[in-house]
Amino acid sequence: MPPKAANPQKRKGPAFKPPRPVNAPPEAKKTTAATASRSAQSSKQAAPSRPAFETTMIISSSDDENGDAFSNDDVENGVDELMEDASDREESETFLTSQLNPVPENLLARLLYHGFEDKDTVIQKGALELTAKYMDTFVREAIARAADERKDARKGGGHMDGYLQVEDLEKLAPQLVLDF
Amino acid sequence: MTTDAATEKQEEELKAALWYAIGKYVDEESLNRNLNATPHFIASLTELVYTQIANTSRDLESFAKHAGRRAVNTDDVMLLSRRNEGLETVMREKLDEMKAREGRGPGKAARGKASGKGKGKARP
Repeated sequence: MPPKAANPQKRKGPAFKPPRPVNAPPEAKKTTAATASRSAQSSKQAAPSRPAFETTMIISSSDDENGDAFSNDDVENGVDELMEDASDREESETFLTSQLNPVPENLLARLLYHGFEDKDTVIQKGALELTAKYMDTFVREAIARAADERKDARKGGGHMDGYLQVEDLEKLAPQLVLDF
Repeated sequence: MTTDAATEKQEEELKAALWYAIGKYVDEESLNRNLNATPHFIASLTELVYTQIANTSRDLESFAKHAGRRAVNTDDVMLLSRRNEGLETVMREKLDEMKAREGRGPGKAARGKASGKGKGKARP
């Protein structure tokens, strides 16, 4: 019994501190209800008002997983290690990426079905989720490159500093589309 | 004629919805990055993303058809990243994470086949 009481303290450190190599891409939309409160403080400085519809993007299935992670804190098992990694990832990246999905999955599904030529074509749920990730990366990349263009333009003495312009998008679009 | 008008209207609505979603995202992102975006920028970005999704859906459909399927699965989506190694890494990680989640989920969804990493076709 006594070692059990001592364990959690020891294990708590590694669970949050170390800057381990993050081995997965930003998973902002995966934020669970359990971690929402934690990430709230980090995202608060960035975005004071979170849009209401964002809550619909929360994947509830991971909710109980996170609960597991906490209840497993003092119990050794295989899942535990995985979950530690997961919470690490969320901690370290909430400030980098917004919690929002640029293209919500329902909307993406509608758009994809609209694009299918054969009306019999369907898309699996996992495939849809992966496509959402793809579009998420696409949009994020577009904005990042536009911000980069803006930085260059500012050096050249452009007008309307700090505002992303259509011209920025025009410059980056060809390469972006080639890359995706 | 009427169906044409109907699809056009639907397209407008979808584009409007996309505009809204992208606008929200850009707003949030510009807060994080401390920049700003003109409404024109958001409109153009919406147009770009809309076109990209249209292309993507056509690609996915073709990939699935080529494999003799009616349903698009994750392998087809992975093909989207065939020209971009960095993107492939990102998507592979996402795929692995989804699989891990599925594996830990209740009942371990019987999707062994779809989880194949591509090559080794699981044939009965």
